Amino acid sequence: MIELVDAIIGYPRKPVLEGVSLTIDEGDYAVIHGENGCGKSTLLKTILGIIKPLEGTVACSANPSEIGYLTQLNPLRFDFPATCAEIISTGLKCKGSPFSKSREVQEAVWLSLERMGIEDLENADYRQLSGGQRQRVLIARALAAARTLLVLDEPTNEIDVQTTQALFTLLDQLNQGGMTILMVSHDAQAQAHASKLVHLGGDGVRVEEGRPR
Amino acid sequence: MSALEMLPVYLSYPFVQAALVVGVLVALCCSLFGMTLVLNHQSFIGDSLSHVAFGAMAVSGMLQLVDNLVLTLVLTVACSVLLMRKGSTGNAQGDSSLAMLSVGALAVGYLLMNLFSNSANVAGDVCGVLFGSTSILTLTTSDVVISLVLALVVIAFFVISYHKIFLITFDEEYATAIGLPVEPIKMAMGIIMAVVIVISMNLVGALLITALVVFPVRAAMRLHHSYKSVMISSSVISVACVLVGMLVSIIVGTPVGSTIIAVDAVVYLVIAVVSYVRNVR
Repeated sequence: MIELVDAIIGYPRKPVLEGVSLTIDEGDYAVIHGENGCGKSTLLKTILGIIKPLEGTVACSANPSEIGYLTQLNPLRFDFPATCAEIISTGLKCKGSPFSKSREVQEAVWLSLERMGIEDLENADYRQLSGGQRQRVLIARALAAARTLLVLDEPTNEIDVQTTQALFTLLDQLNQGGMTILMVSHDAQAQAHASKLVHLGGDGVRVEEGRPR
Repeated sequence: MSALEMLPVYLSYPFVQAALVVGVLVALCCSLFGMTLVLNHQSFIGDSLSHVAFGAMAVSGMLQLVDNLVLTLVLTVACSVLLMRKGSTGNAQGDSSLAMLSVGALAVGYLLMNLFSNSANVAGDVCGVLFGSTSILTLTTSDVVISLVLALVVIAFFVISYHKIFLITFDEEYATAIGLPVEPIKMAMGIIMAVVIVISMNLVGALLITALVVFPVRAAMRLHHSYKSVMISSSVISVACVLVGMLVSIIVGTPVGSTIIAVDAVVYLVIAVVSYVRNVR
């Protein structure tokens, strides 16, 4: 599903990772980890086409409209006037989405709110939420959109222990149902759930097999 | 007969009707793209672009062009597209670049007008461009048609791209990841914004455009918590303030642009107080 061959990734005049070769197969549960600033989020953004590789090949066969993506919380958007339902549904309503009817969109929103245990926040003001609640809303948005590939950048940031546990149980279920999961996480729990561990460090990219699928 | 009693007479004049139609359309356009600017923390882009338009008008004057609209539009659109591409806020460098562009264009424009103007009243001309003067009351039929076409284009763009604009404004990275054409939409917004600003200069003047862009959106943000409600409400507030401001200006004989902005400011203050009291309770 995802293949990088001898890729140099980063920003013009500022390469972050060099010689990256990596394969993520369909149905993998891959967790990327490494020290702060080693290029974990940059790698995710390159895989998703947000940043172009400086050199080499980066290919992702998943249809963009079937990808669920959790971005890191952006403090500049904490004063954005929108309900949680609007935030979760808007991506689904854009052209090219597999959801075309509003009822289907609504059902996807409800399901994702339920999965994250935040049904009561459907019409809540995003500006009034705590950091943890905002994170859960954005995870719900990623879950609602994901059909084949779920990409999560530090999903356990800001959320409590119980929610973290419930999230990993849910991700296991989704992965067993065929969803490919790619996650950046420092959380030891996340690494324990992974079928593939991707270490980023001074010696480049190292891939280890994790828990059997 | 008092000025108030004369109002129906004023309203029967074609130039007043034209001014009201253009005022409503410009208000609607400003509130629509104003929402994106405010939420992107880019409120002052409008101000900078209006200063660029002022500088461009001065360049047109220096070149003694018959119609300065074309050059003004070209230069303002070019700057707008550049600002939208580079991103202008969120860091000290972007913010200060915007400030330099803003004051630089204003200063060069004023300098050129002083050096090359044939007018006997340069100060009056400059004041007219910066504060709107009464040019809204001297619109031609072609001005009205241009405003009408522009407003239809802007409204159609915002209706068709509503979800995409929401998503790009809220989370550009996510929008890119799910395959939305982020850059083309941002470019289209930059072009539309520049054109609206050039047209709006007739209404409120270069210095006051930011108010037309910001006040209605901020007022609506205090009243509502959903994106759709804020967008609809800011459009209603913007149109209502422009209509009231223009009517007050006609009745009392005050400058059109500053009267409209004063009404916007009063409405914002009232809504802010009401919203504060509501939250305290």
